[in-house]
Amino acid sequence: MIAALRTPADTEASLAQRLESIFAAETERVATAVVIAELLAPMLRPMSFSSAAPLSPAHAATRIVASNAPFTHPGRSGAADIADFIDEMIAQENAIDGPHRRAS
Amino acid sequence: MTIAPPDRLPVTIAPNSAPSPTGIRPTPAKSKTILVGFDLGTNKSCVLAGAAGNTDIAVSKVVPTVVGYVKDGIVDGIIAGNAQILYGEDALRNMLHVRLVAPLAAGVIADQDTARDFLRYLRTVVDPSGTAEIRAVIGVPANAGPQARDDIRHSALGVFDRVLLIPEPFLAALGYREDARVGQPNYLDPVVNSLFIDIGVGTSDVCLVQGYFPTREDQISIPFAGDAIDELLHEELNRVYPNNGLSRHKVRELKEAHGYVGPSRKPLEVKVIMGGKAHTIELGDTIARACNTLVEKIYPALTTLITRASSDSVVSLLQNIIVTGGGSQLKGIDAVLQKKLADDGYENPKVKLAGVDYKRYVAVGALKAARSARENQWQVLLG
Repeated sequence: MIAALRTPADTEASLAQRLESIFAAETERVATAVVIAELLAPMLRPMSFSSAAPLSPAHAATRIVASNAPFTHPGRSGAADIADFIDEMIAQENAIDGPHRRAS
Repeated sequence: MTIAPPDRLPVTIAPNSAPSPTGIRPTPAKSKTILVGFDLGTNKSCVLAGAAGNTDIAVSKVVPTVVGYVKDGIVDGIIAGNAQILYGEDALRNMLHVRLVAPLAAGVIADQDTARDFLRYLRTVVDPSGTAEIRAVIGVPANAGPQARDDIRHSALGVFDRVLLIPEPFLAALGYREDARVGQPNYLDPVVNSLFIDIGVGTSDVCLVQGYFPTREDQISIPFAGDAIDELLHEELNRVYPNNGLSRHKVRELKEAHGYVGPSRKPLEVKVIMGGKAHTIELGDTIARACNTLVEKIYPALTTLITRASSDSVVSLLQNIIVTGGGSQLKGIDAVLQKKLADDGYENPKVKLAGVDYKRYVAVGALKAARSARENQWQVLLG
């Protein structure tokens, strides 16, 4: 293939330079495609409309909520920052709705 | 493939991810990032905002949650700037010339388009330049299901760049917490051990907060709150004073001015205008009957959650019961709940009111969450 790229006027240095620029352009193109794929992949995966994001459980019954108890709290012993609480919220909602509902 | 409800475009939610190795970022560059804590309330919304990396609060606003669409045929100059859409106080001031629409009902979005208009307006309040990246933590009712959350996301699509939806009772605890006192020996950190009673418009939510994110078992939502009290009070007034002509809005005003719980306080005489004429009516028993119903509804939920606390934590928990929301303004609600608990044998209960800042605590907690959220916890809304 490299031989096919060579032109009569090419020197080794000019051919190497041209190959380098071709490889750089292809690398960039592949990287762009990867980013687009990362964005589009969730759309290609079967998921419900209300998927992906952490969702708190539906308290559809408007009376006192019955306990389903699918999630047990981690019983934190030390101080936690707010981001840890948010992680727990996300983990709870994944436990109820299932991890497939999250886009990733 | 994203499966969408039949009559609206799908909203895909992606967790905010780190840049790809090539450094290519799909989102357009923004001049700066503004973090927003947002309590989207049925009657009033509270928004707090500040620049990322800064602890200052640049915007703090409570806005009536209402949008007014100017009626056809309104003469130029009647509405300031000949605006076609008004928001909040402006909409209420011009109610004769606009069609008022409340985007929320019972804490959840009832009118998607109006909700989006309202959020767009709040975005301009937070970022008049329109050039900043806006990341908003939005409080949602404890009983909000997937549809209610999706409705919020739909309304936020194209308005906020990143969102995070967090239940309001937890945000209230976070907002109520005095960060400077955390760790002090005598400080009962509400995030570590408390019971929050949030009495709103559509629901009263009771939430146990004990150092971890509350689970379903830790939250009880009761469909009896401000609106239900107004309804009862309206019925009582119509029964006692037939053909009084008092509107629901006027009844709510009477409740907000004179509402109380506990033994009947008589006489409670109030001057009202009926049919253009001033009348003095006695409201003591009427208001007591309506407002005390709230206590009857809340108390079982309160004791249910107390029984869920561990024996090691319950004594401290009983010292940290906090009433917030509009219902916290009912006179005597703290004393009545505290007395009921004591009479039922609970050890030294202490019920506190959130105080005059109750309208801000959910938004304060939301802004704290926005400032602390990790990059991959934010949700990107893709339309």
